[in-house]
Amino acid sequence: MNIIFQLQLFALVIFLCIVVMNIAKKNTILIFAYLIQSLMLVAIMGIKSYHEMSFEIGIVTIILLIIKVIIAPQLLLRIIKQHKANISATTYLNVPMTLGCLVILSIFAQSDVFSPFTALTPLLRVLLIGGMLMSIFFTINRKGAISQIIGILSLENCIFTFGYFLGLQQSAALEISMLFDVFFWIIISSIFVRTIIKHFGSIDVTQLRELKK
Amino acid sequence: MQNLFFTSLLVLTGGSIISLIVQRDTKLSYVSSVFSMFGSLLALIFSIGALITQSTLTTTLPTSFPMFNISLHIDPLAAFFILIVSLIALPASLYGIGYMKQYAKEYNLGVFGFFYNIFLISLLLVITAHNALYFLFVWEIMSLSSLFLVIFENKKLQIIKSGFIYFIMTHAATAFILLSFLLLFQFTGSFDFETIKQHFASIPFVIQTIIFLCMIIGFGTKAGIVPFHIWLPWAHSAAPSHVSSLMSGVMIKIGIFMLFKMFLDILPQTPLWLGYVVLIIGAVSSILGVLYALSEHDIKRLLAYHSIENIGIILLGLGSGLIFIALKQPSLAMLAITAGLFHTLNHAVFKSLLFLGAGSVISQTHTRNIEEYGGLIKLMPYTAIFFLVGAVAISGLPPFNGFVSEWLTFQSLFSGIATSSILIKSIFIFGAACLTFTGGLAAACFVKAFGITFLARSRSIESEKATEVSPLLLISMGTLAVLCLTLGVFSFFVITNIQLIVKNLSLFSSKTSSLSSTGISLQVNQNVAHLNMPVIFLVMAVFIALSFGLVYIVSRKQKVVLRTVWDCGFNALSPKMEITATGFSRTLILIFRGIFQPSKQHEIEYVDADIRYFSKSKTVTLGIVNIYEAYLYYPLHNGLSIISKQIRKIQSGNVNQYLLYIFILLLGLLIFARY
Amino acid sequence: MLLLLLFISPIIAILASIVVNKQRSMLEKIAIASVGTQIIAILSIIYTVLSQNAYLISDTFSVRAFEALILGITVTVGFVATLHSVGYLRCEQAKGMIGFRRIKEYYILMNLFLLCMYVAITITNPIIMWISIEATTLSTVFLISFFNRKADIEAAWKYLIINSIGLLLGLLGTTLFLSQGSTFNGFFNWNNLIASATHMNPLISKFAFVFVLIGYGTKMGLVPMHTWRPDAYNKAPSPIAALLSGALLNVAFLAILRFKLIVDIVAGSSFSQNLFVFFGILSIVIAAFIIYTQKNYKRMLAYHSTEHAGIMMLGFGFGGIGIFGAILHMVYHSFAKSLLFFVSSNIAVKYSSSRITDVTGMVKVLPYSSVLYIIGFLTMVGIPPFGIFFTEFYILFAGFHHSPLIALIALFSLVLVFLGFFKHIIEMLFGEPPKKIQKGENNNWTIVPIIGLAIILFVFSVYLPTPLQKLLNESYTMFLGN
Repeated sequence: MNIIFQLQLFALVIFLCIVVMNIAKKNTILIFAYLIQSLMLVAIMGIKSYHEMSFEIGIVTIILLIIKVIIAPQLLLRIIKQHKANISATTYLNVPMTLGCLVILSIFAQSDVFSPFTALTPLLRVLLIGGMLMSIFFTINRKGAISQIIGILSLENCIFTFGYFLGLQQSAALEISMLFDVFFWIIISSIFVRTIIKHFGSIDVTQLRELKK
Repeated sequence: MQNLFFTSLLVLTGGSIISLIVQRDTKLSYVSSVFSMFGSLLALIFSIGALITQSTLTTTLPTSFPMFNISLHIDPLAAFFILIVSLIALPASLYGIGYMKQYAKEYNLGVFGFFYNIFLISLLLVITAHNALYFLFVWEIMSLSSLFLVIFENKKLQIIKSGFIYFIMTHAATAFILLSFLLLFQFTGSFDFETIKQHFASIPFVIQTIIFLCMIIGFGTKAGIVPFHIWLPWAHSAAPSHVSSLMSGVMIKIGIFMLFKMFLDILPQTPLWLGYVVLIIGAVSSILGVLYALSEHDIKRLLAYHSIENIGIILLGLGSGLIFIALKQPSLAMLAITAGLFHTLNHAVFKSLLFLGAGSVISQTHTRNIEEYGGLIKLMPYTAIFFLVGAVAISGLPPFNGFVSEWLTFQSLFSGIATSSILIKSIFIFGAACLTFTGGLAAACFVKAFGITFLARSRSIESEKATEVSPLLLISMGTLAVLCLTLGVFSFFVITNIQLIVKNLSLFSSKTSSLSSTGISLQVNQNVAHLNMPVIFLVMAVFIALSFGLVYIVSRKQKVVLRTVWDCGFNALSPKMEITATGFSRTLILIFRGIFQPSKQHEIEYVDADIRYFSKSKTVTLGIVNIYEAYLYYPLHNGLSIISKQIRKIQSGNVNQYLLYIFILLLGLLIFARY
Repeated sequence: MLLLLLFISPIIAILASIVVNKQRSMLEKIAIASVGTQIIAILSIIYTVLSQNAYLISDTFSVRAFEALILGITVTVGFVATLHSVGYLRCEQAKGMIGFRRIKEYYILMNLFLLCMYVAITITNPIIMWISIEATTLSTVFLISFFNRKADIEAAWKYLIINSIGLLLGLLGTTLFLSQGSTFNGFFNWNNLIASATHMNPLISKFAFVFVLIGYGTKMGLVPMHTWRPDAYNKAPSPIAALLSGALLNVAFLAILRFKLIVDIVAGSSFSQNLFVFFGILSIVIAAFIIYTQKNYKRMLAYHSTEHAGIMMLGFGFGGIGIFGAILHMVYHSFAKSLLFFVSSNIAVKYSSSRITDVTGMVKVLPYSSVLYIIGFLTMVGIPPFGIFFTEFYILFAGFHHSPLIALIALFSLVLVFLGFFKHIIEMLFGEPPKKIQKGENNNWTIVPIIGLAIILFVFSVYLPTPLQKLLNESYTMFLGN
């Protein structure tokens, strides 16, 4: 199979994960969707390291695997289990409206607006740019703290993929530092989610109403 | 010569610093005033010298900031105003030495001295500034230092509120001035006043109009024209009295100075409509100023409103002058401008005198309410005489200075009525009518002020205990009183010099004025009108001397016996039977109902709440509405608050909403970037 | 060498602080020693920059005039913040609000914060700059939730989420820029980005700049990305708010400006200038209206920071001498705003409240703080003799040339801000203080450093010393040349 085709397949899966996230009702599904996304990333990086026979990228792939596929979902799942926060709380828009917005965003992503990105085929544009916009939309639409974390992590994945498809060459050291940055972010935000649950009693972000104006 | 000016600035700076250093020691509190006096004296000598030599001084110093040069320019007009500043600052500072002693325990005199000296420095620097950015710099420092002086008695909330209103309005005015300077730069390419002068003619008419309007609003607010005057009564009554006299006598003149300087010197060839506007503003301000003064019972607010009235009179002179310039009648213009400048000087003198007098009364009776004064003429005779001099001067009666300058203003207005155009004629007639009206009402108001304060018997226990104030205060008031008389009698001399200043302006360099002084009399338009002050003074003096002499001769051999007077059967005459200020002015207030919108509220407390027959006490509250605050400023404030509260709703507390803002912005900007 | 010293001193301070147990004075000494070393290091760097035009270490770190200026500001604010924190934390501990562990965390996180900022300023790689700015978010989020009450957690969470999304957008923009630049062993730096700017696609660069502007603009606090700021500044301990406003804002601004240099070559300067003017005027107007009826003095200061971020944006947006005004404004604003925040922490400790209506009679209760508060206020609204008078003038002046209507709206908003701020400050300063408040300043530590800061502010307002002038002029030419 053509390598390009393979990679596009991965991108498609990433995209579908985001769609699933938007529709899902349970937090565990969200986390699994994120896990699969990250797995795709690992796959992409793995193939790249194989192609270029680069040891450094291989290390990056492994660290990626450890952090995003193994540690992060575990952390989040633990929070859910400990505090029984499985329901993803309500969203602002119901499912049909959500899907409608997603469709609009996809159309926007492949429209003329983004045509300068000649390095990407229209399909890729929908998948990647649309994916980013949808992640942000997801973060806005959801009221649960964990959903917001997943939204941000998903956005980060998309940006990473986007950079890759644009042909960005980064030194391995940089990629590793970014990964560690994400790692710390995940740790800190999970600590915060626990604190929120302790203080406010739920992960519904709209309960945070103390500060206004 | 220049060195004198800089030395005076240096002395004042030294005074301010020393004042901060010795602030703890109340015995040394007079030190800063001494420095102020010395500095003012130097400035006074300098200004007289500059006027005699009719010289112009220019200096420029660069600074480390771009576009900001310390540029000084002292021409005769500026020297004249420096004269006014130092002439008033000298007695005021002397007065301050004695006056501030009453605050020594509660407040920090050192800080006061610091800001006082800085205020004087900034006054001098503003007059001499010749670069727009530098001008704004010292202008704001002048406002800032005077703010701290106004809110000196910061334990009283009313005084804080006064400072608040003052500073806000002055800062808003500065915004207008800034706007006009920026526009000037846009079209002339420079902030230096000289350069602006040369290129002004190339500015398009619409922009010129905007610039003039901004300047009128900006400088006019500082001067106190209606409707931007509301800060004046608050600020001038809140400040300590000698500061009030400085502010009323000098600082608002700075606004006038800038109007004179801008419209006559830097931006000449002003259009006709500007003269109309200035004249009408002057007329309206004078009428409204005196009307509101009539309704006031706080002696300092009363005096403050009179300042507004006199600013109106000065603007009548300036306005007439601008109209004459536009009508190409420079000789009449010189008459009008001389009138305006002379009235500036006169008002500075007699208004400061009045404020210092009021300050003396307040320091003895501890209240500003006229209704609680009375009978002070027996207890404070010298203060009474000096206050009387000021009152007569401000009412425009001979032989004092107010009479001459009002006479000159009338002359210029009458000359204007003599022109042919119906529109101009009616504007001048309106101005003259307002001035007449104002003169009469001012006299009425001061009859009230002087009469209720000093005559008859004391109306309260405090005022019974009043005694004459210390010699320092008396000397300062006396100096100003003598000055009033001198300026009146020797007005021919002063006028000659003022005419020279006016001639120095490039507009008038080779013209002759309608006003001339031959010998000891003033003549307008070759003897159409004629005023001989020394003769008037002599006649009056002789007449008064004769009257006193006759009375003395007749009653020399008679004994004076003290008996009770038939008092209609009452047990004793009490102060409650005297006329009150409220009663005096109520008639006039009712006549001008439309402006004042007076209200009357009755409250009755009954002995028995059910059977409302016998009343225990009755309260009547009389009030007037301040239409400016009600119709202009409060709606503005409310409007802004409403908008503000609506906009605050964007911070709703909902994080998703916040993210939504970012998202929508992102999409919008992406589309923008693409096309 | 000097940079090494600069980076190592906070690291050593962090490590040393971790080890300390129970002795607060040890923590304080470590912090002060560390920040003192940082000052020496930065002053030497500035000296090198002035004499040799730039300070470079390999291709990784580069300090030119503008960076030197920002470093100087950051370390000054950091120094005063550290000294002030000593007193402040002592007071809070005396009141029983926090314990030793929290103080330790405070000093550790503050040093981490400073370190990240230094790295972000001096590093030449955009990605590492992004990482260090992200690191500042992570290190300050715990500082915001310092007191661990409900509202603090809420503020920290909102701060975290909004900034993370913002910074990720910034990362996206960075990625777009980098994907077009030529590589240099996969390790980019600003210089070769600028060099390869002519080869970039204008439209993609425009997109990239939009992302960067929104991203780092979130950190800077421009409307409508400012929403985290009132909550965060309100709840964080005031010395941290001072650092956020006086130091981090400048670093975010630096990031945006670096990208502006690139996009100006590719797409012409009018694109970025229009965007700057848009954000600038939007921030100024909205902040001005909100300040007018604000009820909480710390939130008022937060909106005020947004306002001034807008003013700086306008300065660069208008161009010409506006740029000089904006750079100088950065200097004054950092000093004066941090001054205001330090004073507000004194007020908060004394009155135990952040509401304006609860604070009255400040002149009697906190005399020195009141004077400093007045100085800060006068500076911030642009009254001479304090410097912002000049910078606002320069920016308005440039605005008149560029778009008079916008300048007029800006002038109106500035007057409105003055009105609101003045009204609130008068309510706070005068009147009778509440009965239970003890009169007198809290602590020498909370006053003396701030007085020093005020003196520096005043001196710089009336006279720009030659080194400062040189730095300003060089920064000015750097941005003007493009």
